[in-house]
Amino acid sequence: MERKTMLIIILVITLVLLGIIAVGESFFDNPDYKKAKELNRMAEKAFAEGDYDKAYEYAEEAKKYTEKADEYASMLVLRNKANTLMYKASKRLEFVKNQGGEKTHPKEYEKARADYKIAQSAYDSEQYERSIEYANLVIESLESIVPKSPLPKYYRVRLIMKRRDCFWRIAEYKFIYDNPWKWTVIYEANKQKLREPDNPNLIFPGQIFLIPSINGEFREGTYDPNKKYIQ
Amino acid sequence: MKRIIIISVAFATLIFAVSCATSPEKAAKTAKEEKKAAEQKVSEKDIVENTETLRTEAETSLSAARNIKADVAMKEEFEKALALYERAQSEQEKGNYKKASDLFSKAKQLFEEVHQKTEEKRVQAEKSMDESKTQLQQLEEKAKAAGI
Repeated sequence: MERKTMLIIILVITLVLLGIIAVGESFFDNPDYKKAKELNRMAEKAFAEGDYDKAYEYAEEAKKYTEKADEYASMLVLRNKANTLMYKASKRLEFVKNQGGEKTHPKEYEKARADYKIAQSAYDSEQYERSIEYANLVIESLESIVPKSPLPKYYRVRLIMKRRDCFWRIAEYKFIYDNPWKWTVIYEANKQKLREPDNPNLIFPGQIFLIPSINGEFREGTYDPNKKYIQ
Repeated sequence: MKRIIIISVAFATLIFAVSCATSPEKAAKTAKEEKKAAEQKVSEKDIVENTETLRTEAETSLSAARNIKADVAMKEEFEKALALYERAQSEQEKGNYKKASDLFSKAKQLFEEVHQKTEEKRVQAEKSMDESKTQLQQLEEKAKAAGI
């Protein structure tokens, strides 16, 4: 029990220390910045005492440390920018994937993923400009993919007064095959579900038909009239 | 007879006095000596006054150099000038005004040189400090704006 408590205490202390280290990444904790500030103070003190040579020396040295601190600040700015863009790119990839973009736009999605890998690798090796460039490519290339639902895999027969659903008309829908002559594909795939399998004209509202993929297109879910589908 | 003797003595004294008073060489000599003495007196007074003036000037330069902290900024040079000034003071006290004057002049010149060089150093240091502070300030503003 005591050992367990000790382990918990050690774990907590470690976490706190890690937290402090993480927080300590602020620019104002940079050693070069602190040194420049200290040197400026020393220069002022020497100046007040009349030691102008020392004051000059300290001020010149402070400038060098300020330059180093400036480089660090620029790196932080760049890293933050890269970090933000990497986050946006990853979110965009995730979003597009969730929307089925991986299957509806496989080429664009794969390219974006490859670009993201390059961006991540560049980020890990602290090449932030390259990371920014590729993260931007990911965002830009996926921007053209309008988040639309993939084509439906199932179709629920609807009761439409003016235009009654039949296999011919179902096949004619743009989100199905956009070709009424393909009605037989649907009929054959769902023949066994029909009350009279040999009679393709007898279908009822509410019946759900499988829509087979005929050109390798990705299909998912049941048709929803409220959704926009990839044409 | 007594009257004749008195008159004769008086006459002889008068003759002697007149002869003395009217000797041109003797009179000239006396005037020259008097003039020389007076001149010497005036010259000594001038030297003393002049030394005092030079001392005051040296002290003014010394003070100006101290005010700019030349005693710290250019310690060696300042001490050299100060040593000269102190030697001048010592000579003045001994009554060696000519030597004191020379030393006060030199000390003054050295204090002025030290002052000028210190001023140059001060300006250079101040400029560098201002630049350094501005650079750091700009960097701090940049960091704050970037939220880093």
